[in-house]
Amino acid sequence: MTPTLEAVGLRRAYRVPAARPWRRTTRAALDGVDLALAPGRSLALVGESGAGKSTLLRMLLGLERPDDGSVRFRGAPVTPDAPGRLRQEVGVVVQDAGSSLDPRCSVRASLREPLECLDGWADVDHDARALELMAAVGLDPATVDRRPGQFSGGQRQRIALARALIANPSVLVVDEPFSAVDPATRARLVTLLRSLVERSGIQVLLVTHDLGVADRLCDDVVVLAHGRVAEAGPIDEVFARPASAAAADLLGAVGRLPARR
Amino acid sequence: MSDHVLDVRDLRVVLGDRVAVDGIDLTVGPGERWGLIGVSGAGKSMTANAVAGLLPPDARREGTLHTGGRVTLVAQDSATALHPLVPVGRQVAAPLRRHHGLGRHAAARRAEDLLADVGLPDGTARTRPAELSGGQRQRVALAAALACDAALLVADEPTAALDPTVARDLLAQLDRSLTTAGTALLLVTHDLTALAAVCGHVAVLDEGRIVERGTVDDVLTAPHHERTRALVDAARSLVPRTLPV
Repeated sequence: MTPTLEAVGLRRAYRVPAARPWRRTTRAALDGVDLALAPGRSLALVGESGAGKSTLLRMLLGLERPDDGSVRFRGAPVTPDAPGRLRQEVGVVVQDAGSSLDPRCSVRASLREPLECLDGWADVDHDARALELMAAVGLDPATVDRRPGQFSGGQRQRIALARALIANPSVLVVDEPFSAVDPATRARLVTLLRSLVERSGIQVLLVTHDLGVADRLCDDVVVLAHGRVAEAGPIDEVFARPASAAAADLLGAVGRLPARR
Repeated sequence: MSDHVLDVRDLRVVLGDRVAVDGIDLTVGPGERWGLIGVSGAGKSMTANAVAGLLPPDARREGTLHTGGRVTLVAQDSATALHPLVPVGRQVAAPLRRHHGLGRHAAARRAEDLLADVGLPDGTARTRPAELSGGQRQRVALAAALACDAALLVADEPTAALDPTVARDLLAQLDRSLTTAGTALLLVTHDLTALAAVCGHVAVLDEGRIVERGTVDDVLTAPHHERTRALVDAARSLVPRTLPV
């Protein structure tokens, strides 16, 4: 079966500032990465900072061109000039979702914008859809005319999630969504996202440090290290028996809590 | 006066018309390690800032706050806590010269030792913050804090900006350094596993008050207050279900 989203042999090198600037120094951010979001499944992309997660994500979203290799969405090539169906079908929640909202716009305006830009929403009542999504992410629809600054960090994450979901995407990409919130809020957001995924059948591509969140939301995992795929497979198998040093290292750093009495 | 390194009685911090801290009592003995946990906005950072003497200028502090010795701080974001243009060795040496009266060369040598003590490679003293990784910069901040030879170290989310593997290593370093120096700790954190790794005692804050306190072991294994239970349950629900043995 054709993967929903697929990367084949992605390579990308960046110029790095060098001690001797007349010498061109490059560093490979991605060094031949293959990845597949299998139909009907959710995928976690994990790895340390500098492993290449962000670069890979930008290419998967058609925001950046690889030096070599290709990205395909439902079998069709994706490039920055021709993202194809990807823009229509993929919703994105970026890392600092709260500050990605325009502070001058009401939440209503921010939520309506994707519907105004994307195909197939001309005949739909945008306001009604905005209120529906506010309720779906557990926010009071009566607050839709407030600005982002009037919400807490956790609430802004919910607004960003509502905005990513408003045009009914088939794939939701979330980049480190909950690192800035306290554990109680994080657990609530994870539960919310999980219920939305179960209800709508949306596929999640999650980029995270947080293996607990990955475990709650995803079926498969790709462990990235030094620009390469160190290990990939079903998440429970990889977490129980990591075969690579990179995966074992990440799992070894998961903090433990004393057992409940 | 007691021999506590920190003795806080009925501390209140008021910001405009908002009461951020609403009557906190807390005593920390020499070498004791306390964690402050709670949801966002519970008053953890304001309490830590009050202890470190770093409240915003418009904040009003009430109650008594006695410290038995010097208090030093490791901030959350080492990128902005360190001077970007000054080599880190000189930044670690600054408190040595100011507080311990060391000469330039003696302070520089001692700074190199401190940087080595926190696990940084030789030559780090001559680098500037931008040349270091986030974890390395937090180690520099820790070395600078240790250089003060303080009785109490206040750390506000020191690992929040770090990778899990880097965070684990930094916490282990913090643990070793505090043990060696006999310094007490006040750690503000969202991360209950970090709390479990370095602290012996914990106070749970909610709406500016302490709703539960005790040993970390007691509070994490048998929380009494509903807010504590919610926090501990949330943290437990986010630990991966399967982990390699």
